[in-house]
Amino acid sequence: MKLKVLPPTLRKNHHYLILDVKSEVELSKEDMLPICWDGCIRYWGENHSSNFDLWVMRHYLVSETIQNNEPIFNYKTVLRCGRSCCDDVRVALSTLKRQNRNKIAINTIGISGTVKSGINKFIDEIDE
Amino acid sequence: MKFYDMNLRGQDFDKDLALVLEANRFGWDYLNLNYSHDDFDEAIQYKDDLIDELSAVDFYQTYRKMNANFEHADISMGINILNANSNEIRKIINKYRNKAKYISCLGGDLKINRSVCENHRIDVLSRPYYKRRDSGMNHVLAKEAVKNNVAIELCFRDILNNHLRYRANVISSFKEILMFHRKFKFPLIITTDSKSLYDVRSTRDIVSFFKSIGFTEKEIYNGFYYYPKQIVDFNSERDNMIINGVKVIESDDFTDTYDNLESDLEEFEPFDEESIDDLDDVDLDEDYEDYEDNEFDFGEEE
Repeated sequence: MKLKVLPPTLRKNHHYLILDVKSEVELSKEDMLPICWDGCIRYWGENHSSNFDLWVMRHYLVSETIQNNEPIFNYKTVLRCGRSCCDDVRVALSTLKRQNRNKIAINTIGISGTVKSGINKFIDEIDE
Repeated sequence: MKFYDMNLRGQDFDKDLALVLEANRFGWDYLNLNYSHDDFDEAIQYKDDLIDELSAVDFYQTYRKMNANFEHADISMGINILNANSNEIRKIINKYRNKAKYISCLGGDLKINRSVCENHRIDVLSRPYYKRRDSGMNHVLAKEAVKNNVAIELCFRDILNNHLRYRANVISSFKEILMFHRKFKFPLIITTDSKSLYDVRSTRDIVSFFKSIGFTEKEIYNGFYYYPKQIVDFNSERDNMIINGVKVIESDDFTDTYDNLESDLEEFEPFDEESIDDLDDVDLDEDYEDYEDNEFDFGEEE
């Protein structure tokens, strides 16, 4: 049996981080979540990371370029996190350098209260 | 507030251009490319080309604030002295001091740390904790740095490139140097030391990181803007200085009277407490814009 949905007052409040992700290899939406969790747990530890409540909402490939004979995949991602933990999450993500020996760089380019407004403001290439 | 990154690692034109474009995209306002003294003469020749390429970038290709007056990042070039002993440092300084606007020296070795802190012709001691278990600083070096106005540089790249206990060691060194900075008030600057596209981080991410390890807003402001600007301004006047504290003023340019001696640059004035409380529970998206409009906004993305 499915659990009944919580009333709005009991639900957790979220913010949405808009991320600019650069990677050497292709990343799927499913790959992004463990990358973010690993970064948070490595920097903040298991205890503090338990407040973050991360989830990848959207994941778009923006461009694919080649520099010095190496491909660079540029993605924009909408990442959900707890409302009081935005700064902690962005710190942890900015300290990520490699994932499975592939270079990766994650920058937070904006914070939004809803997915829709985040996409409208920061991911104008995507028509939704 | 503007963000000065005084240490981008220069290599060749193509790589430097990619690096500068990326840093400009993420909101940096002043970029200083550092080269070894052997490569400096070659690099200074393509500086104008870099500036031209950068000025061709459209505002919409960046993550800067929409409502801000859009300006491209300024570019300068300097020298980073690597792996040299005290004698070699002295020779390099004698040769390049008049050519380069920025000279830093990589620390790590205790003798180098000491000789750099005692040399007023060097602007920055870079990474005194390099390959050390301790911070490489003590009260003696701190006093010398204050006396000779040598800034100490902390690099974000050391955080990126080290992991687990090594990263913890670097953070511990940062905190110890911060402790000395609070007591002795030597200039402390924060840089990224970016070498590739993957090292570039947005200004606000780096501010958040340094806040998370215990820097106050005042120290971050001074580290990113006040002290770097002081170094840039001082070095632009260096040609006219006879000795420290005395400079030649051209007769046509004698507007620099006693009234104008105060610099327009001011050290950080902290928020009043009410505004800090307001920031704690920011309700996006409306209040976030208010935060951006505040006196000390650290973000460029809005």
